[in-house]
Amino acid sequence: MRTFVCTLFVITMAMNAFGQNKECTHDLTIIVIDSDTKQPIEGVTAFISKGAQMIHSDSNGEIHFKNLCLALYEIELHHLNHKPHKESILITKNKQPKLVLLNCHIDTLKAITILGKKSNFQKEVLMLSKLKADDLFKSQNFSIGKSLEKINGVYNLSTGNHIQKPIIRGLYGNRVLVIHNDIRLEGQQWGSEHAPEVDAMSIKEVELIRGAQSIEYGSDAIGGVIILKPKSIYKITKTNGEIISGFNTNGKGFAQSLMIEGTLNKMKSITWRMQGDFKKSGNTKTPDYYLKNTGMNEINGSVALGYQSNDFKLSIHHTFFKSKIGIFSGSHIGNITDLYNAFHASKPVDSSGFSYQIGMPYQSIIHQTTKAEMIYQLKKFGAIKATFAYQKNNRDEYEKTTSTLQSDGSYKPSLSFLLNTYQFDLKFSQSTQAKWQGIFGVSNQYQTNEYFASYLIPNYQKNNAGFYLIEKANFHSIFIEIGARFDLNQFAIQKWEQNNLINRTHSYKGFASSLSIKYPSFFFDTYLNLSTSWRAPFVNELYSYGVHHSAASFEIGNSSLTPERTYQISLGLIEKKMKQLDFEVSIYNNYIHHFIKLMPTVPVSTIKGVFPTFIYSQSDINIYGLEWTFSYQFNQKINWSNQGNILKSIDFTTKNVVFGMPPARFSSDLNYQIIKNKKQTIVATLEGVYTMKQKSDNQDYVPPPDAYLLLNADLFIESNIFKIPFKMSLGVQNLLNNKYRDYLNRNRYFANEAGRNISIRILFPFTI
Amino acid sequence: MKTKLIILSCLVIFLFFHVRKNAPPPNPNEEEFITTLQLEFIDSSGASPSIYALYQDKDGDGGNQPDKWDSIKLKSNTCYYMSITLLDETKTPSDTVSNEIISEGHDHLFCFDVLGLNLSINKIDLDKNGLPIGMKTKWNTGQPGNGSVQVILKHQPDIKTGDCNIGATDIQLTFQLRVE
Repeated sequence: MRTFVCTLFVITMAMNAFGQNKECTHDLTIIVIDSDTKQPIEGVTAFISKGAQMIHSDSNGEIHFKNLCLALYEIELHHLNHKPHKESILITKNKQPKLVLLNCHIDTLKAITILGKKSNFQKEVLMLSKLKADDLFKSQNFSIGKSLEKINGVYNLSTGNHIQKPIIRGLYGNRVLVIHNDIRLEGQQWGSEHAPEVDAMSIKEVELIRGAQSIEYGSDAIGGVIILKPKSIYKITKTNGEIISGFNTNGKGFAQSLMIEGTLNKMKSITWRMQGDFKKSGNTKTPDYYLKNTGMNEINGSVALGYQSNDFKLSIHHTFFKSKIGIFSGSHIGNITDLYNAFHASKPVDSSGFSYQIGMPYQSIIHQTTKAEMIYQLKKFGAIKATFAYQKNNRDEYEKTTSTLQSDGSYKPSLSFLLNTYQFDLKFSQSTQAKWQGIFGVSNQYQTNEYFASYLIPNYQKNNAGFYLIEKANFHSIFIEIGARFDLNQFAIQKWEQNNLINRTHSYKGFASSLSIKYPSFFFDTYLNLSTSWRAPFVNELYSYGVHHSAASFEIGNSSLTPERTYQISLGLIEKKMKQLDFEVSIYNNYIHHFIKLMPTVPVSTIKGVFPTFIYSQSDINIYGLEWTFSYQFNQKINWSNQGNILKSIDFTTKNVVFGMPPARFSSDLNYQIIKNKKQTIVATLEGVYTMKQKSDNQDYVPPPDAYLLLNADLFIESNIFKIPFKMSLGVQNLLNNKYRDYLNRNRYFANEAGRNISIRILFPFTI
Repeated sequence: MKTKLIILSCLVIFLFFHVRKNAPPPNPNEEEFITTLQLEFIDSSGASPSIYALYQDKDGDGGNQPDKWDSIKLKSNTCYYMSITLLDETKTPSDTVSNEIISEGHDHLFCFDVLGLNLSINKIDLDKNGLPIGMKTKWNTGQPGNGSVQVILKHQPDIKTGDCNIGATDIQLTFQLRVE
């Protein structure tokens, strides 16, 4: 979904009045005009093949090529705010001036420009990673987390096989923002066992921004931003749809999705989409045994309605997400003795056969989002975009020991939360012919949290207001983006203390800023980013109090925490210009002042025994690392791609590594293109992923798991049967059925990871 | 343009009228806890009065230190019948949690670890599957001395075999024990 794509009118006027015969004396003039403003564009870089000329357009948008022969030329146009354009032009004798209307994408509609400029610009100056629809389709393993792991340096903090929280450069939870369908996803993100409430099957593109490079989405995104995009509602041109079916052998999981979209018969400017899916999976099997109570089921649906005219766009979306996820019953323990017993057992006592049954403990989540969005194109200055969103998140968690039976026979959850979020964003993006182009935005969020069962975090009402300004420009071939943001964050909490209801308020404010530079050179593009940002302590860090059952720890909040502030620098090189070799390397350093973390303190003794106790505290830390990707195209058929990343950290208070950071990981995949033509594509992939052992320096109860190697294979087919097109992916994960445990899975104390899985995904697009 | 502004304002109004005030959070005192564990020792000969030992932490986990944590004093070479009572004293009147444990006896198991003393403990109650529960036990003391006994309650739904090392721990308390 390339909303950033811009439409260009390129009026090509071939003027070769002076040319005769085969002499290379002909001229070509191209005038570049913006499709929206109808103004000529200055500073477009044009390349022409053969003569290897490179020219910039003047203030009239004109590009003059001289001394051309009577032949076919390739021209390429590049500009900051517009999609690069390529065209072949045949220089002929006495060629009449030709008007060429070019749409970068057939289905791109005009007003997408508005947002396009901003995103396109970000793509220009920020180094970001992407997953396209096909990558997502291949890696789709029911949760979006698994797909994100395809991006170099992204890990998941997991709880079993179905709960995954993305980790970017060692940071997760409240430090990583998930932007779903253009709005901040607001679930109970503070919990390490709370996965993002997103339907993976509706996502068609993913963008990942590492670190605090982008201030547009919120200053608290000090770890990074994950942008999840469903298909755009404005791009629909005809009635069509898509059926996706999936099956996994491990857990006998299946998924089925149906999407239909179209335009109104009488009013083509009104578009609509309906999408729904369900997923069901049973107990996961490790190479030796089943994990009891590890099934899941999920039902999702969404409806969207869009309207567009020349200068106005309006859309309304509603999404519904409901999931029930079983928590491995062997991971629910009482105290630290139980944890040691479970860790040293050769196999969990709670093992079982296969079943779809989900008993306690389990999580039950319903997340609903209603969003209205409006884009108004101003005549000369740019565009205004207003977004309103309401999100309602119900989360109930049931545990074996603490969920009590109610009189009607149902169980009362041991944890129950209702989170309501109201959000309003207003964005103005300037698109004049001035050198500096800007985006100015205001966002406001009001959130309330209520709990109905045991205490874990208090009730709160939070208000966040933010303002930001991003300016961008290019000087010759250096692209610069600078941005600044101010946020005000206030909240009130209510909790019980010794039978008294306590009310407290907190207020935090701060600035974030970022400078990004991109310098394209002959071989590679260099990206530099310097940024600083901050995050206010969250309610759980201030007020949590109680036993965390899967970790057998007692967690105590600290109401005197102050905001943490990050200072980041990252430098990246991307080379994609050489024919056979592509590479991408980046190094970064992230210094966090007053980083909020859990530190051991005096153990608490309770009737359940003595618990290792952790209190939220702050210290200065530094995280630094290296990420690289290089791929080599041996020939038309064989491509070899390698990724790796290493992350190091230090806590200046303890002089130790920061607890819970991801271990180094290296992966290599070999792609063999069996068939590639217009009618069909068949690609076979063999992938090896090696994850190192993490050094924990005695910060954990038990030693970290050993390094492990996983082999995965995939066969991707895009073809058609009886003229019905389809895409299919046939994959095997953990091909060797290795027994291993992962450092970032909270179940590592209790059980092995999933064994071999064979997965099938089939997608049928259809037109009505 | 006017209609667009009207649509915009309506949406703003809709969203901000939706905001409502929260109800106060539930008082944690309405939940169920185990705050108190009482051991009652009855001399099998009936010769001496019952002996009680109490652990009491009225505000539950964390917070204040336990209100009461007795040590046990028993006579040497004597046989006692011991029974356990569990209470939730955050409620008024206090709730006898041990009744629920008895009714779910097939999911629960009490275990005892004795240190530094010659003392035998035998479980004399059985659940519906014929496995011991340990709520009622028979203690035979030996020579005088000092030591300790740890009382453990395991919650073992569907996995109870009589083994003490499995399941989730609901209680784990060590009492000082003196045999005179």
